Amino acid sequence: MTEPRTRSWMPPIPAPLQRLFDHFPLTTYPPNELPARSPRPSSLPTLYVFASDEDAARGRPSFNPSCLKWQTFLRLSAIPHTLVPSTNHASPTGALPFLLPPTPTPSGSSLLPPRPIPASNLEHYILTTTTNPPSTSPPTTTSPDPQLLLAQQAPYLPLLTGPIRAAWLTALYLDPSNTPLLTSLYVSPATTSPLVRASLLSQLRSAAEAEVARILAPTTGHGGWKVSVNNLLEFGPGARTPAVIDREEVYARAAEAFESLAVLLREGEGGGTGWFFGRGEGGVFDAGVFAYTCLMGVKEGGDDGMGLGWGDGGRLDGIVRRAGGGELVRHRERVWEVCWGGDGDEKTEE
Amino acid sequence: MASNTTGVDPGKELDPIVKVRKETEVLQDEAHNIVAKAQEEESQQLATALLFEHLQRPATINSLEVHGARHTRKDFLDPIFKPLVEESRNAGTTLGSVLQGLKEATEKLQRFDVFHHEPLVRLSDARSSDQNAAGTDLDIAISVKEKSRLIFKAGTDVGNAEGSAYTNALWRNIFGGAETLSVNASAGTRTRSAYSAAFSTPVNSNPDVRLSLEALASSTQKPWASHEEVLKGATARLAWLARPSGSTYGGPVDTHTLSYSHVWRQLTGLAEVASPTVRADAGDSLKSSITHTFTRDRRDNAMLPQNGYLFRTTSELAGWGPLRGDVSFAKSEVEVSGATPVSLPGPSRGPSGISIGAGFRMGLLCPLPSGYSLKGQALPSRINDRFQLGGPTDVRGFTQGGLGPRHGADAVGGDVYAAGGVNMLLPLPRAGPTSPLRLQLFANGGRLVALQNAARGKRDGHDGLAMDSRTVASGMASAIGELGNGLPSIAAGVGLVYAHPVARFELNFSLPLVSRRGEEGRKGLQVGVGINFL
Repeated sequence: MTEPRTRSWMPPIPAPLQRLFDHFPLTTYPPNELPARSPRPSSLPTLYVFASDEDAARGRPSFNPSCLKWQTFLRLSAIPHTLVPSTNHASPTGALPFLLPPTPTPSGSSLLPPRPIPASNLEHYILTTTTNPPSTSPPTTTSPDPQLLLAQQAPYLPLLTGPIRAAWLTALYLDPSNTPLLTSLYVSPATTSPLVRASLLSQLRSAAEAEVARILAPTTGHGGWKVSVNNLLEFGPGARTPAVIDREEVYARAAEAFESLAVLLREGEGGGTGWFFGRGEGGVFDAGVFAYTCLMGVKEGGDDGMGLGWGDGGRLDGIVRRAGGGELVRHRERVWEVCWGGDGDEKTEE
Repeated sequence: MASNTTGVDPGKELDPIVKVRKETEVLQDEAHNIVAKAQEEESQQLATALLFEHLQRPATINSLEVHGARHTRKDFLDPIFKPLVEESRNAGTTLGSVLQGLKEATEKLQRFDVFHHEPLVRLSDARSSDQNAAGTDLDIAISVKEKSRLIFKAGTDVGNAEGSAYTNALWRNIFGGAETLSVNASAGTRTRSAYSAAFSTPVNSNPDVRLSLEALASSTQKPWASHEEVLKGATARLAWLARPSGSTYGGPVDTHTLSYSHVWRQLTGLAEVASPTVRADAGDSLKSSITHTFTRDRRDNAMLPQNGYLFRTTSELAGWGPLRGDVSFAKSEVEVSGATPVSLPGPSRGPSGISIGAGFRMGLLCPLPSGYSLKGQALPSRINDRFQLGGPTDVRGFTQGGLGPRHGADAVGGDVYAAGGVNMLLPLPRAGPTSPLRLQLFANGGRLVALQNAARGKRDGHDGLAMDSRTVASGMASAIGELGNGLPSIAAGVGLVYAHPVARFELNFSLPLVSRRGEEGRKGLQVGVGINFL
């Protein structure tokens, strides 16, 4: 409450004086109330995601693959949680999602709030949280050896973070026919100002472009020097030049990646489970694949369906549908059924 | 004194004759002084009369020339000097009124900050150059020297609780009409980087009215609320001096500033410990607002006021009606402070250097619905619009933002505040009243309260944050009522004040007397550096 930082250059306060100081302040009133915008402390873990206010309140899927992955995994793990629509600026790592563990005591506004858990530590958090309540499913198929799981996933994770992510970025951010979708998801909610929207849109585009270029040719770095003013203007030979991205090539690589995933899933289906790596229930890898395949779907009317309102006629959805023998579509529906099955509002958390 | 053998005490050893002689001497001296004084006064009166007589001489202006203004436009100087030579003013005038007019005109010139001080004014009989001139006609030549037009500066600045290093380029008199362009880049302890460019011009050749356009980009650390604020925006500002009715030229003035600003704010770079309140406000918002500021400063010294008063009001309207933007509110602040010297009883001459001062500030932020309606749904304030209170330059004895609502370690600000303080300045025994050093005794306190949404949780619409006009009104009323609930948070202490012409430095020892749970008082020493103290 008082000065928490101790100053090393100051001599320690003599004990009698310290005792005198301890009498101050002479009167202490109850704490001030927080402003009206302050979120009320929650007894549930709070996942900060990209979502509209309404979707977040009703627990609908986030429109961002990284956010949806963890939202799905929370639902697959049956951990009750709240969603808060947010922006990258709110995150400790600069990117959503992150999770705020429940506040220990509901009345403690002056207590230190819990530390946020970034996406990189979410798996550990979720797995340790689920072990607390006794699981209802048979113990033979659940809680597999995490080390084994990690080893199984390792060769396939780069498919998601590489070609599939590149195709996602290319379709949403770089294909002009999807600009209205991109704007409605990421730009319009941030501000009403046309100038700021234009600036945000161009920032988003150039960041996506750089990311796709990095994924496609990870070895080519920038050469030469550059001068940048406030991260806005760049000069010099090392400054960013518009990368030439061959969209068809990106989609072709994504198709290959989805094909491999479909084959992997077929092995699982052969084993009878329908989940990746023959597990008895959906894991974090299932959530990661679902996050892309779900959002790549084309939304057909209504608010509660899967997918987004793509302006390019569902280019990516076509790739997902064509992969293998439709295993990815069946997987997508399976996850949806477990997480958002029945009425979308059924699982609304407060 | 008995042991004192060699020393002579004149008061005791004088014999009566010496004493009488001494007294005559004293009387003679006094008489002499009186005569000298009278003579001096007489000669002074004579000079004044002579001057007065001189000034009463009829005089008119035959020609008026300005030399040395090489880069200044004639049509810029015309409105300043034209009135002096106009027929209506330039007939039946005396030398005195001509000189007065010239004085006003040259003073105006100086306030443009384009010319060096004290222009040379030469008056000569017009008949020497012009045979047709009348006997009263004068030729006037004003020689000015233009200041250099391009200036580069680098240095350090001290602001309220912040230090910074800057480089500045100033381009004066760009189009020959005292227009300036100032480009500034700085990096500081709190404002990590700031770039600004300001173009400013007097309106209609009047140094009392200035219009300026400013663009800025900055990034400021707000450690008291675990974030960084990045600003990019532009401001158009009209500033003018107003002379209160009855005030003479050169007398006290009031300043008005009316500005429109359009700023994109980004709350980013959150610390790991940032509270959910700060996280909820992270991201972008655009503020489009008009602000009016009125200042009446009648203090003898802004850094160490010992006499006089300051009155300032700031009113801001954001987002309402045609302003648009992402935030909508009305915000108003009033500041009053005053000081009065205390003279000690006794025969001492001159000011005692002792003064008593008091200050009071209050502010109010009321959310408004966006659009033209006054009854629509209004969104409660964001952290970057709310007030902060506490710190060495306002309520001493509390940390920066130490008063008001706190979420975790963050000072999240409030919508209504009131703060006041009294202080007594005493000169230090060795330094005396003329030094800028003072001993200070103070007690100050304040209250910062956030607007509550009483209707929250009942949730009629899908947006839980919006408040209707009735909820806002009742919330504001209860927030203002809350100001008087119990004693304000108070601290008192003693310290040293050093008034440097650039900034005021304070070193105080203080203890909080009353506080709210969560508020950060500061027991012990606190250093304050700033320009505007409570």
